Amino acid sequence: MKKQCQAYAPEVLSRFADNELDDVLYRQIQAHTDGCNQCRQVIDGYRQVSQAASHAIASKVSTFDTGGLGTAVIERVAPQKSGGFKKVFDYFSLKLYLKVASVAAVMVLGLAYFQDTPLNMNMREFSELREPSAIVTSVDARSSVMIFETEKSKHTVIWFSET
Amino acid sequence: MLVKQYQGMLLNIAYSITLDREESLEIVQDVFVKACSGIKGFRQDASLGGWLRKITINTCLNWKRKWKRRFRWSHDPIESDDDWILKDVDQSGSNPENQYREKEFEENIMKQISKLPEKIRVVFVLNALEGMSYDEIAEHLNIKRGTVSSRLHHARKILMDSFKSL
Repeated sequence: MKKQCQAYAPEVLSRFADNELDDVLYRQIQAHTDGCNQCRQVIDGYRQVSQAASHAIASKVSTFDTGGLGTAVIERVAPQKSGGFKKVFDYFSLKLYLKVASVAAVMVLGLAYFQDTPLNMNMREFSELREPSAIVTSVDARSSVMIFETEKSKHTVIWFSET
Repeated sequence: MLVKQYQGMLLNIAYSITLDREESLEIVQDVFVKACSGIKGFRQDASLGGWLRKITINTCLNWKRKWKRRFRWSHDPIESDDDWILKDVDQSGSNPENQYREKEFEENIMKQISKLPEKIRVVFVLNALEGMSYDEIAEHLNIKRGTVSSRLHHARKILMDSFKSL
């Protein structure tokens, strides 16, 4: 078996293969490899190993299913909001017509509450009541009744509860 | 989109370091999330690809959570070689025999790469895959340029010796 050329250390040839030598040494080795088949083969072998590895890895990775990667990233990057901030954020993310409709609904209900309709008057009076006029517990002890009477309009409200 | 443009490059790096498909997909996903949340830290004068690559390498090297699984891979692959080759042969086109041989060759290379110690493998794949210079690798991994050179040579020697014995 022919002895391997010892002119340059294998690591130096490896650096030559990567063009990682200073100009002087690079040119020396280049001149040497013109006449030395062994060193040239070593350098070619180093380059081929790198190329083959690169190709094998890329080929393997190309079989991966990366379809959901973009979606997964977007889902994780989306603002992580919670509680009240989330509700506020959700509100502002609503479509314009939904925002307008919700504001209009609040205004209508607010105005209606302050209108002096009989029902509203009773409701306001009822909400101001502190204690019921009477509490009746039924005979069978399974139900009870509370009776309220509004002060001004004298309307009676009966609240019935069955246990 | 950012993900589509860089996912291939980042997956190559992540897979060649972790040697695990699921882990590399998770890592790349993490990298994009980190990149999006830390985009303010990106210097305009730097390359976006280089910045993402650096995050990927750091994430891979810090990915200790599934260390045992990674160790197992090199000894007990989830997909057997035959399964993988047969699957590809089934999908092959005009020349199944060549494709079979090519896949077999690639699979052998992957096997030999997976046997390299991680420190050596990382240097090797950054050079072979990304064409990174010794200085760039040294900076990324925080090691000396001479260490890059010796590890790279060591990786090549191991791989070439293993191919000779095939």
